[in-house]
Amino acid sequence: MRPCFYLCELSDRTLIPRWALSLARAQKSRKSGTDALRPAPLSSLFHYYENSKSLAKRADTNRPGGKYSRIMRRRQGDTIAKFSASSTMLAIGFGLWFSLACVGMAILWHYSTTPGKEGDPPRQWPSSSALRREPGTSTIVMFVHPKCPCSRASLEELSGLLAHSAGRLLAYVVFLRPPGENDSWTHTDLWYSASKLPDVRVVNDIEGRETRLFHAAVSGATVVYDASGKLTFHGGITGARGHSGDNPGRSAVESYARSGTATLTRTPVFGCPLFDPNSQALPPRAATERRASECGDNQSVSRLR
Amino acid sequence: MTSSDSIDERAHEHFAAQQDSIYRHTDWLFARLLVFQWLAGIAAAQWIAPLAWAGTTSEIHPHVWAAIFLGGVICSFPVFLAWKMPGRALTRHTIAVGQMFTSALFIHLTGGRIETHFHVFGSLAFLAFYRDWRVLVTGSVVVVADHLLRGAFWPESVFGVHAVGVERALEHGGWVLFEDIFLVLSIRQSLREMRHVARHQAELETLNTAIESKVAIRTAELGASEERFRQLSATAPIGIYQTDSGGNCIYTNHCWTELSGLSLEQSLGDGWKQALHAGDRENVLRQWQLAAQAGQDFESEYRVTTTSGELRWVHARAKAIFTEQGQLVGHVGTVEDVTERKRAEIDLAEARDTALESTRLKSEFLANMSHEIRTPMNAIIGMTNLLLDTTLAPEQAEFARTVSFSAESLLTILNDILDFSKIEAGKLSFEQEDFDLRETIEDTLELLAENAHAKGLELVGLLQPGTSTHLRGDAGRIRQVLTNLVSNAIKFTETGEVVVRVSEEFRDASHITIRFEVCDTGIGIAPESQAQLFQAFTQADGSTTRKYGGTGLGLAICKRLVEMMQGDIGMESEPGHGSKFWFSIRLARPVAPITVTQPRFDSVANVNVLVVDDNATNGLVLHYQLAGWNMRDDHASSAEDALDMLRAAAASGDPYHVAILDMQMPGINGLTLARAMRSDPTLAGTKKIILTSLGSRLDAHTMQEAGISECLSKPVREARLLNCLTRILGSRCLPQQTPSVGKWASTTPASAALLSGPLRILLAEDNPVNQKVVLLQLKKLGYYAHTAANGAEVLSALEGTHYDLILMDCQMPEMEGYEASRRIRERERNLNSPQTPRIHIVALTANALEGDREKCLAAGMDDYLSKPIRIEELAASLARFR
Repeated sequence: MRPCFYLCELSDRTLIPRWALSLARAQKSRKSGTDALRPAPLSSLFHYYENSKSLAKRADTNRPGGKYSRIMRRRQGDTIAKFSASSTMLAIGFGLWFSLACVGMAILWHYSTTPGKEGDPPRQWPSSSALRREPGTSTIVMFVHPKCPCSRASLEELSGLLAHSAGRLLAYVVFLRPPGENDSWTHTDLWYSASKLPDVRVVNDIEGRETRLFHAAVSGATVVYDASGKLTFHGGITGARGHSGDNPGRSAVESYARSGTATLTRTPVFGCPLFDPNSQALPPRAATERRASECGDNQSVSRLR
Repeated sequence: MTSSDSIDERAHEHFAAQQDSIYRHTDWLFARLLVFQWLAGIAAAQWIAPLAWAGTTSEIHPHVWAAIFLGGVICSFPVFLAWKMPGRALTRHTIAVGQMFTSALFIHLTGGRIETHFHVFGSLAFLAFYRDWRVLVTGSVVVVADHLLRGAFWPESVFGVHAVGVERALEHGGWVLFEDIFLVLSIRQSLREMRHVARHQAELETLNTAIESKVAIRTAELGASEERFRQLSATAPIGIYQTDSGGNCIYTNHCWTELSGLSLEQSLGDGWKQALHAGDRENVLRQWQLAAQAGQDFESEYRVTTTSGELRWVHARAKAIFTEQGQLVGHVGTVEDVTERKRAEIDLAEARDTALESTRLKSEFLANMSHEIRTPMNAIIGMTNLLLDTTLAPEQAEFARTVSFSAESLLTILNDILDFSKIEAGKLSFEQEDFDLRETIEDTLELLAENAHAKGLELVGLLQPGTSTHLRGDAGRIRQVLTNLVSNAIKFTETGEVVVRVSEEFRDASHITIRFEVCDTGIGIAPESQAQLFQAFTQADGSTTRKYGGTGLGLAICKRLVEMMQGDIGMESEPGHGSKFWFSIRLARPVAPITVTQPRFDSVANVNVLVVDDNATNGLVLHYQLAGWNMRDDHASSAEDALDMLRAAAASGDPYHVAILDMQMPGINGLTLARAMRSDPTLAGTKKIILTSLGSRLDAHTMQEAGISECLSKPVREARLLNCLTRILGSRCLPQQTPSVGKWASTTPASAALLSGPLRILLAEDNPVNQKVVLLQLKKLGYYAHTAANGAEVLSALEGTHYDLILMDCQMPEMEGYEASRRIRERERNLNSPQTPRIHIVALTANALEGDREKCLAAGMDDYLSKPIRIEELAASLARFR
């Protein structure tokens, strides 16, 4: 079928190939009047229209008041209106509408696929972190804004990831609690979803100390340190904002968990910013590391759950 | 255009209309669905990701804005088209695109959840509602394009993996196509069914059109019929009405409203009853109620009072109408104004009463006239006959005979007129009694024999052998017809003979048809006059009346009488050669078994008889009679031949034992022949019987001198002849019992004297002349009687003397004969003595009208003689009671 068929169909034009018309007419001539209502399968795609057209002409002649005649006249009118202003307006309207929908979809795609600010986690597990590592075990830490809807997909991906890592990873989900906020601000549905994940330690990061310590900027940012405390991966484990499904970040972490080697060491993070964009909440990584070493590990961990 | 083409066209029209309806309906369905999806998308976005956060600050999540604006854009144009242009191809294809965009948006808003992909398949299934495979193509193209684009740039959003090939996109497209195949097949099936339905609808429509056309025709016919009925009903000259099963009027026509003065509305229901006349109301309503309840037809004549107070007679009829199941529907009837007819009937009734009164007066007049005429006629005829029996000078005898003839003629005329009057009045009745045909004939001939012999005519009665003689009917009427015909024959015959032949024409199990023929050798009747003979007051020609007299009623009366006896009458005649009148009547077989003791013929069997008569018919009659008694007979037509035959027989040793001689023969008469036989010694042993005409009987001296043993009057009765033969042959052979039928037993005046003996007779007659006549007649017959002037004297006379017979005049002063008879019978019942024999009462009355005879018998009388009393009838009556 030719694409123009649809275009013509959209304006109610009956564009029937000549060979198909000839075939249909030949078949009709071989059949009786009742068979005309049952066109052969081969010509069934076209015969109805041809028949309807010819019948419409006869109907217009013999039965001017008939319902079918009105329908066919309207169809004929549509055909004629192809050249009229209204049809042009319709075509323009259809094109405009289609374009707008496509553009809207494109903008949405763009929003969803635009990563957040890239973080810069320390290369070595910060000693000042209140998060405890276990010896001989790699540690994965995900930083989550408790109210970020996009992070639900990150938690789902983390859940799947941990299910496939078979206990080779020690997992922390750190929920940011900005200064001046209480625990209720943190305890959202995401908190409870994370709490339900097996082998996951949920951390209420008071005033975002750990978040800052690991230099996470976007909710869903994930870091993986090996057993020696060396950073092996950092970035997002979703393919787009709030979009679950297979993605390079998750694949990289799963690869590391299975083989000890990550296919990627960094991926973009899709989620809500953890801090106000205009604030200087996230200090440079060197200062953070220094401050952490000065304060000691115990001072940086507010609480573990 | 053929019928098939027409059906095809209509099927296509229905199909297109149905398709258009589906398109429009589905357009609106999707329009609502799109709007719903839009709102649902906003709600879902608001629920899933209401806000986008950045630290502690938040803002409306872009997904919410996308759901609002992008979703709005997606559904706006399709909804607009569905609103403004439903049913068009552009609309449904735009809807298909929009629905697929909505699927894409939903998938995005739900974070690419695989479950949301089902929206795509659901949408395609929804699009199949259009039953237009092209819409599926459009939707599928959008889906495939979306997958291709996303697969190329963002594969994980569609396929869940971040790196896919074209084959994965094709696989997804293949699954969509997989669904499309089933949907297209479903659409094709649905379209086929739609076409099927459309064709059925077209056929049904064609059928309906045909039916409607027929209905229209029938309706038109019905309308025309109804119009015709309405016109008929409106213009009918009689009232027409219809009632329901309860008898309430539901329709009347204009004529009824005109007739009764009631309007249509007033007449409906039971309003028509107010038109009934008060005098007829109760009766009519009762009849109508009975008819309405029983479902019977109704018919009545009654009066109605119009609103103007006028009284009118109507004749109403109604016929009950039933359903096929026999349930009463109501009545349909007519009301006819019969006022004029009713008035005419009243006038007619009055006229009839007047006519009946006139008839009664006429009958009374006839009775009076008959009585008044017969009384003097009795005297005239009786006295004249007595006068003729005295010694008169020739001229005086001639005068007396003229008087007698004129009186007889006058009596005949009177009888004819009375008979005709009775026939015309329909008062003539016929008796059904057993009788003896032979006696009836012989009686008739005997009465007329005198007239015939007076003219020198032979009067012969010939009853064909084998003819049934015991029959049932009115012998008196037969005798009357026969008498009339024979009288006419005698009247119009100057010379020759009058022969009465009676034969049996036909018989079945219950009836016998007897044919009577009266043949004469008279003047005959011209052919042109024959046709008028049986009409009243008509004779052959005017000169006949002048010459022969008569009223012309005789044959007309005969014809009527014969026809009333289920018979036929006719005649054949040749002028100058005589006439033959005949009639045949159908008579019943007798009810009572005939107990006739056959006479003993032994003494006469094989007796050799010579009949000497110049008349061959007479000889034939005697031959039949003699042969019937097993006698041997020979016939000689003249005296000379007779002498020769007598001598020859004597010479041969087989002489004739008896010779029956006719008195009147040309040349040598019977008396001379007898004397000749007496003078011949060889013929001395032959007994001689001479046949004479009535009234010319030989005296005893003459008979003795001629050696004649018996003298019989012609026509000779069979019984009398047999009696005579047996007597002269030395052995009486009378029947031990005479035939039981026939009251008019044979007794001639001549023989009455022989049979007479001491008989105490009382004559009750108030008229001295008639008293004298009857006494003289009795004296002539050898009887003597006492007289009484009225019934009271009769009763007084009976106190002292016993009488065997009373001749009772019916009309007498002081006490009528009827009353006297009743008293006598009552007296006999009171006495109840077997030693006292019953008195026979013979009525003498001048009343000859119908019913007089019955009246006499009812009063206890035994017989009836109508005045004028003829001596023969008197003798016969006296003989019956001996």
